[in-house]
Amino acid sequence: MPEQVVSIRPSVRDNGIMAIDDMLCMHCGACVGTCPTNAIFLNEVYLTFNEDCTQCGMCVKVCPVGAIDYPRGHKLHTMK
Amino acid sequence: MSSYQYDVVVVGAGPSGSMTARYAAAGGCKTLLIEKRQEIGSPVRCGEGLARHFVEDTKMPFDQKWVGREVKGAKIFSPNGTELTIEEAHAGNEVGIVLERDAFDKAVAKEAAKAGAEIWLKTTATAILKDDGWVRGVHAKRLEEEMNIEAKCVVAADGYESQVGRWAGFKTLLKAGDITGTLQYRLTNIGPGHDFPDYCEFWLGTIAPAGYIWVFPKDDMTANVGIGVSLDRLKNRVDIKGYLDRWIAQDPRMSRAQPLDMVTGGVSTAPPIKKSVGNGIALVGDSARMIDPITGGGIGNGMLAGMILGKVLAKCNEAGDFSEAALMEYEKGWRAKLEENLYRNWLAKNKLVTLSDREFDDIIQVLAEVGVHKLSVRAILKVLKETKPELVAKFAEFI
Repeated sequence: MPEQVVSIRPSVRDNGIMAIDDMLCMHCGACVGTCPTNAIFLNEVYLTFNEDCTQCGMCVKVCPVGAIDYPRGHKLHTMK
Repeated sequence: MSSYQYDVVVVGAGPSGSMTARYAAAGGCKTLLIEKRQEIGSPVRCGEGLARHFVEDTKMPFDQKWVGREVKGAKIFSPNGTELTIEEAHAGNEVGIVLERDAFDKAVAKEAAKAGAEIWLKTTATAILKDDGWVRGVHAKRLEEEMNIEAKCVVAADGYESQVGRWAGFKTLLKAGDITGTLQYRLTNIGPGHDFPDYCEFWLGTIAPAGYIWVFPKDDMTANVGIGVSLDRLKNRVDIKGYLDRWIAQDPRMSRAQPLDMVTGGVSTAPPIKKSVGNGIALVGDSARMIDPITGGGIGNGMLAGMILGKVLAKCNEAGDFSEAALMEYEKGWRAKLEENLYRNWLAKNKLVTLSDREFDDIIQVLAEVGVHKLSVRAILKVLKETKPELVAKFAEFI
């Protein structure tokens, strides 16, 4: 079996509010229209969360490709 | 900072926005259509099903370029595989043409351009300009350039996200039960079965909780295979993808199928919004929650409302009055065409999502035996009431 190289996930941006995997994100806006506090900003290909976020998790569930997660350290964080 | 002046600025060049721009420009408004992406119609964000009559209703010149496939009708499958076939004439608003949405959206934008509208790509609205209870335009960014686009009326056609409307104070927030997350693959190398590729297929039951799986054929071996699942049935990250992948894995026709593209999106399955116009602003299409709560289809409704809005804007321009009162003609117009059906289907959806697999099996079984001549909630319930009244107890109020 070949040796496994160090695995990193450089595509994840975690601002302490929420985490986004840029390699998974399809920029479809499903999370934006779902967000009850309008805390998600999406310009064409860049998604970001601001401090209005309440970590309700609706975006985590609605994202069809699992590109959004709770931030590292949060008890519901699941991204490996 | 630069500043521009228009009569009408439309935010979003989907079918609703482009249709609005077309009729506004045709009616004499100096119209600007802005689109945040670099290409109109791409990436595609939907299943691409559309009934033929919407094309005629909105006077879209027919062009084979945007037709993926014309189908004979719809097939609805219950969880145990019982098949109900409905021919096109009776099959409702999302069956008839399977579009090439990227080409279709461009074709609608082309009509807007022909009518005299200007189109700017890579232009993102980042705020609205407000003054004294009026919306006076949008703040936007085009590539490097920051600008104010002043307009007598802003049209929010920015889709499911509905940001422009929210900035202006419209209540477009959705409850979890009125939100559907969707994922679709365009699969090719699909094998034969269930008369593929002649029908649009809808698969019901717990395979797609409070939603459905669709198979919309694009050519002899290719189809849009997608799923919608209600947000209140989702528990974990990537649940939606899991549901769709499991279904594809068990369908023998798809055993050798391979994806050509992948599409995601959010869909509202909500009742129509309470208010869609204000002083100097109007909402249209998905941003105004005009999507059919049962099918999740929104292209036709959005285009129809866009046409109504464009014509009203032209009148407002002639009168020099874009006040809420003047724009009410649009609100009344789209409600007259769409509201009753949207509201009825929302109520019916809230019942449908409570049905068990067993109940879906029984209902589809009866319908397949008796036959349905019209795919509407009321017509189906009528058939059921005559044959198996106990099945429709939940729906008594609709009959």
